[in-house]
Amino acid sequence: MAKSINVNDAQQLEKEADVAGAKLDKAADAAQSALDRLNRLSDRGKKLKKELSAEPD
Amino acid sequence: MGKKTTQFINKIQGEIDDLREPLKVLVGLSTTFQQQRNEFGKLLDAVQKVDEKYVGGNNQGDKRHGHKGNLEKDLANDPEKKKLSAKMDAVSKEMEHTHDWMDDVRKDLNKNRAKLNDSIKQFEGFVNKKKSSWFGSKRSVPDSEKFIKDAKDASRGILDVSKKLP
Repeated sequence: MAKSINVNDAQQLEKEADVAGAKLDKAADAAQSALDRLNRLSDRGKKLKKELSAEPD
Repeated sequence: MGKKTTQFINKIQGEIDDLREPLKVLVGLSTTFQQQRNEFGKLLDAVQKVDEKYVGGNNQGDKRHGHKGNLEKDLANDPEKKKLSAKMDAVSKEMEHTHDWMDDVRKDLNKNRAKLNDSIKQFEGFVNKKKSSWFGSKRSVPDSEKFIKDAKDASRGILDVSKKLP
């Protein structure tokens, strides 16, 4: 059985979680942008491979 | 040029795939952590309401002096508070688990980014070495350079994510 929660400790934990959550949201936005960039890079790579296969050595 | 360049691009595309995975996990973690925070906040509000029954809230005055028996013990033994405490304990453990997951994501991003950077460097060295002998006549040369530039930008984007992680 969990011991009774201390409200002050829980409030502190909530504050820390809010700070971490705000940072995580920003990181997730950056991750979405990074994913978009990687997808474009992957498409560019595919295009380049196609070009190379058609190009004389 | 074609065969070797294709090998470089294939390698980099594999590394792009390896980077996509932790990024997708991270986007999902943000939603999960938000839900956990909301749940924790609701439980905390509920616990505070239970506490107010014993000690009084802002508009109720202090009830502590009127309480018969051991207030702290009675409060700790309140069945509703016990139930809420158990739930809060579980949610805080889930949040810890999410934090551990964030650390894993950061490690994966840094490890896979290092591999990508290494491949970009090798590919760039190869293109620069070969460029002079092609007399700039092949279209794939500027396109390879553009690919390298975009890959460097993508790598910087990954670093940005890693730095922003809590």
